[in-house]
Amino acid sequence: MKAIETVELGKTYDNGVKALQGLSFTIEEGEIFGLLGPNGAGKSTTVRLLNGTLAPTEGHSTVLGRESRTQELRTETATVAELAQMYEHMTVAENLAFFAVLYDIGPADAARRIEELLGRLHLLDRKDDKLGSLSTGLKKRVQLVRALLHHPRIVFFDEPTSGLDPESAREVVELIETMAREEGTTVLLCTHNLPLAEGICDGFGFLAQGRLVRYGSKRELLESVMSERQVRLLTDAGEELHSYTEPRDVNRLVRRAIEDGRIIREVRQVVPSLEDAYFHFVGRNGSAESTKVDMTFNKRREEHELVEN
Amino acid sequence: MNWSRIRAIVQKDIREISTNRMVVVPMVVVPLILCVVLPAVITLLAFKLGVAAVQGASFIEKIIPQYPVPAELTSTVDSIVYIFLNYTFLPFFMVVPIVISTVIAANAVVGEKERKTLETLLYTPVTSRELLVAKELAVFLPAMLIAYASFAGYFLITNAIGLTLRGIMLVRSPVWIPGLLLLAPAVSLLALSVSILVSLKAKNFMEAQQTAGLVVLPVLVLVGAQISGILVFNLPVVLIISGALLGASYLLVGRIGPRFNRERVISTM
Repeated sequence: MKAIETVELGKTYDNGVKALQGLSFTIEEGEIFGLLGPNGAGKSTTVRLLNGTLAPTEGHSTVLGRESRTQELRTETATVAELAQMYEHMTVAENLAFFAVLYDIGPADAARRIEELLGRLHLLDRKDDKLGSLSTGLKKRVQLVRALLHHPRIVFFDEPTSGLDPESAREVVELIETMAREEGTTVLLCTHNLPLAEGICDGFGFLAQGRLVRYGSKRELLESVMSERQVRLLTDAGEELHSYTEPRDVNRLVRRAIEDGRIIREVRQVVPSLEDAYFHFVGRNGSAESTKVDMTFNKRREEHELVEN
Repeated sequence: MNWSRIRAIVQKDIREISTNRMVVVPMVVVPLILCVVLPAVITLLAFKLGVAAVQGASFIEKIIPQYPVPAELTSTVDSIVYIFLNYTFLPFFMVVPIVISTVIAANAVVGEKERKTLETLLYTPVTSRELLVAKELAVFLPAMLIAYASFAGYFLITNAIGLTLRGIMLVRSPVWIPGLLLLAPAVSLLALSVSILVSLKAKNFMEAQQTAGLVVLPVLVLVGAQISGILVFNLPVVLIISGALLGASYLLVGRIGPRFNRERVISTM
């Protein structure tokens, strides 16, 4: 079943700014979908359109089969936004109990659920601490508990790792994945942190200047940028990068190197990473102008070994 | 409307008031100075200085006959103090619910915007109408509580001075009954409505408070009109003004409703 479907969705603000245009994509139920793009690409606007906070000026979207603006949808969805905070003067438990009331969860059920989630996120010993006394990473975890209180079928995360150190960011993303998989929740993860999204998302969408420039699974996205296969040849004379079309081209390349008297140390097929695909479609400056994939200097790329000396 | 949600937001907002010094200070200082210190000093000075306190102020003597003064108050000073404490001070007293409503409303809306907590509220199932009603109640209830507590302080201090120095109750005009039951809620509603309207657009607490604080100006005009004898704050006048303010508040509250929607609120964050 489709959890989210947008058709030519667009938003132009009252001041004339076109934040989003022609956004069409679908997310299946239970999927973790990463919407990736630079700041100002339209990620937050997308979340606000889907959670019904904003009304679209073009197109439409359905969430769990209903129009996004439907009030009841907010009982089945949750949003964790970059800047949306909870109440620092209240304790963790008071904050969660307050939000439980807003989601119409009875006191007994709320207490049980809060204990369960705090336990799972290792926050039980901090439940009586004032939220303001917690670190940014722990506050994000409390936000996660708040978002999951009412067993939402969809959670929108807008830059959930913003302001976190790499270790905390990794931890939060892993928690999102664990919780989502355990609860069977559909997740729309908006971020500009590609490596973290790559680790947990089933599907990806690249957003630039308010337009969805490409979306699909990782494999589909990588295939779309692999028009040119490359192989890295490491010999005693140094490293060379060669393009090839057929596997036998690689054999020919190796043979020629041997005939030239060079010693083969390593032959690797270069496979672009999601980051390569992202920059290919979004561009280095987020301008969405297709740029050539820079495979030589991308240290994070995935390499498949063909021959190792 | 879901009253459990409304009650939760009201309780949360009222608790939040005590955590913000910019809210607590005016809530304590304004009623204390206006309703305890100032009337006590004025009453003591008037009794101490006697007629010398009002010498040369012929306009004051002119307005005395316009007010119903109890028969046992025979001296001019006693009559003037009685008129001041019961009639002149009535519109002056309205500054308390206005200031309190303005400060709390600014904190409840702009304060939440500044602390980035309003956005989280907007993502919950709370309807815009529930949120607005909760915010209005979270302003109105403490404002009225403080207004009545201030009057209690005012009533006790002035009558203590009156009974001690003159053996008379100074604050006892029936005009206080509609003043407290109608006029105070009416000005509070008006002030909170203006504050919420202003807060919807304002980017920060100070901006909202300063703009909404302009509501106090018409009250000062009323005080001036009364001192100069243009307007006599007797029972019918209090009833008419209360009715007019309640009507104005009703119209304003009606105007806030359509403006207090998620899209408008979030677009000003």
